[in-house]
Formats: sequence, C-alpha cells, structure tokens
Amino acid sequence: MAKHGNLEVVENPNRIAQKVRAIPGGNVDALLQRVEKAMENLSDEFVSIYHEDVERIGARMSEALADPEEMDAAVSAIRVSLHDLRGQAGTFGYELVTRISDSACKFIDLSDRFGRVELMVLNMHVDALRAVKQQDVRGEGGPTGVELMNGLRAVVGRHGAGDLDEAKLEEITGSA
Amino acid sequence: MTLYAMSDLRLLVVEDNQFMRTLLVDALNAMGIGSVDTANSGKRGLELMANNSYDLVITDLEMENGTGIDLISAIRKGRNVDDPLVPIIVLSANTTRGMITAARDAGTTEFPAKPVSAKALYGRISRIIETPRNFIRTDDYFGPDRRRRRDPNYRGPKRRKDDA
Repeated sequence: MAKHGNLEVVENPNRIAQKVRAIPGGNVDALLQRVEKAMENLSDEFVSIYHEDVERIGARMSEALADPEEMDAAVSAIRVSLHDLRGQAGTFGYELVTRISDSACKFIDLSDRFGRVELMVLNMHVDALRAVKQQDVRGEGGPTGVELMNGLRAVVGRHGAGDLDEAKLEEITGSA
Repeated sequence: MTLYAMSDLRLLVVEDNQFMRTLLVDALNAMGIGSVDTANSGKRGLELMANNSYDLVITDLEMENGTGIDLISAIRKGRNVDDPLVPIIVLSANTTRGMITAARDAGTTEFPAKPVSAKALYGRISRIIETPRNFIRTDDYFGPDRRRRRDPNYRGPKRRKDDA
C-alpha cells in the first residue's frame, strides 16, 4: 500500500489468478465453440421470448396511443421489454433487433420530456420491430436494415433538434 | 488468448432476467467454471456475498430491489463481504455515457456490453486474470485504477500525485 497525499494505492493480490491454471498450447477456439454451442442451445427459447416481447410492446403501444392517461405506465412497460430485447437479441443473431431496441431505449432515457411527439417517435421504433419480426430479419438486415436504421436516425434527429442537445443526440443516433 | 483451467473458481451472477441468468450460467459452465451461484437482485447478491466467498462477480445494472450500482458500491465499501477487491464484471445493455461512468465510478473492473458473446465474456475474464489493476482509494472512490492507458511516449506535463 502506498499513500500520496489523500490518495492511497492498494496492491491487487490477484487472487483469481492463483486459482486458475494456464494450459500451454491449449485450444481456446475449441473452448469458445463449446461455449457458443451452449448459448445456441437456448436459441429456440429466445425466439419465443422475442416474439412475445414484440407482441407485448405492440399492445402497450396501442394503449398509450389510445389513452394519454395510460402513456407513462405503458412507456415504462415498453422500455422494460425493449431493454431485455436489446440485451439478448444480438447474442442469437438478431443484431438489428438489438439496434432498434437500443435506439428506442436511449430515446426514452435521454429525452428531457416525453409527450405525444416523443410517443410517435417511439411508435416508429415499435413499427420497425414488428416489421423485422414479421419478416424474420436476421443479423443487421442487409440494405433493408441500413435503410431502416437511417430512417429511425432521421426521425430522432428531426425530433431532437432543440429538445435533445447534440451530445445526447449523438448518443442515441450513434447507436442507431 | 490463453486457455485456462477454471474449475476451482466460484462465481456469483447477479441478474434479474431469468433467461439471461440461464444463458450466463450455461456459458460459464461450458467454460469450465467450477461453480456458479445466482441472485436475481443486488440485495440478494449482497446476502450471498455475506455468507460466501467468490472469485468473481458478474452483475447486471438495471434491477429492482437493489441495482448493480448499489451492489458494486456496497462491495467496494466492504459491507459484509469477504473481499472488497473481488473483480466485478458489469454486463449491461445500458451503455449510455452516464451509466458507464456511474458503473466505473462505483468500482467496476470490466464492462463488456450486452448482448454478450462467448469470446467477449471469456476475453474479459482472461484480462482480469492477466492484467490485474491496483486499487485506488480516495475520499470518494475505492476501486480499480481507472487509468487504463499507459503511453510510454507521453511527453506532456505530469499532474498525477504519484508522478512525484
């Protein structure tokens, strides 16, 4: 331990390194393939969750659009599902789903206020998710995916002018 | 990357989403990790840490009943935990600057973002093993040294307290 004024440096004993053993010449690729296989075994379960989440998001969006009193509760619930999707979809080859969901979550989080206009922007993300699910788009979605994300980016950018500062805008659209 | 035998390691995974917990446990078991305990909240994670010794903690951030930030802060403050220096990996889908900064300033060791891949997860565990960082304690921080970059060619002014 070393002190420098009111700063103290505490040496890391690195206990975890004492409990593992390096295997010289070991095949890391084979290990990673085993891990990937274990994760792939959950693909079917993820697809069920993904479809249910998109249905749920769509239903809550309809509630929000129909009744302004329901908007806050509906958007909170939508965000929960979007957050789960963005954290899982890319692991199973649905990278575009992650990107759309991430853009939507950040738009919700970084908007200073959330009213009817913001709800419309969120609805565009939800429509994008529905379309991607319906067409079973995998990966980044190729040229269609690029066009879709550019469209969402443009909508967020148009709406964001004057409401979202440049840093926040970049944070949302950078992810899109 | 180096292949490690990790059968003596005991890990704690703190994650409120059941499917994600299953995914992580299956991935870590496939890596050969000795044992993996799970908790569905920061609060439950701290309860487990009060009664068990872990070699690595992997935690989500956004959880009800005790967030990941709460958990990390409590660990680094040594509240009923065996080892406040335990490595902590944050796995979160929330990668806003504010959240990353909050996690770093709470004392996170590594922050690979979700969605997780086998290579990224194994890579971060390897990095923790191979390049341990000393801990820094100041009036308002205790955690791994937040300075990662070492530039041997830097010729500018030196303002760090331990540069003296």
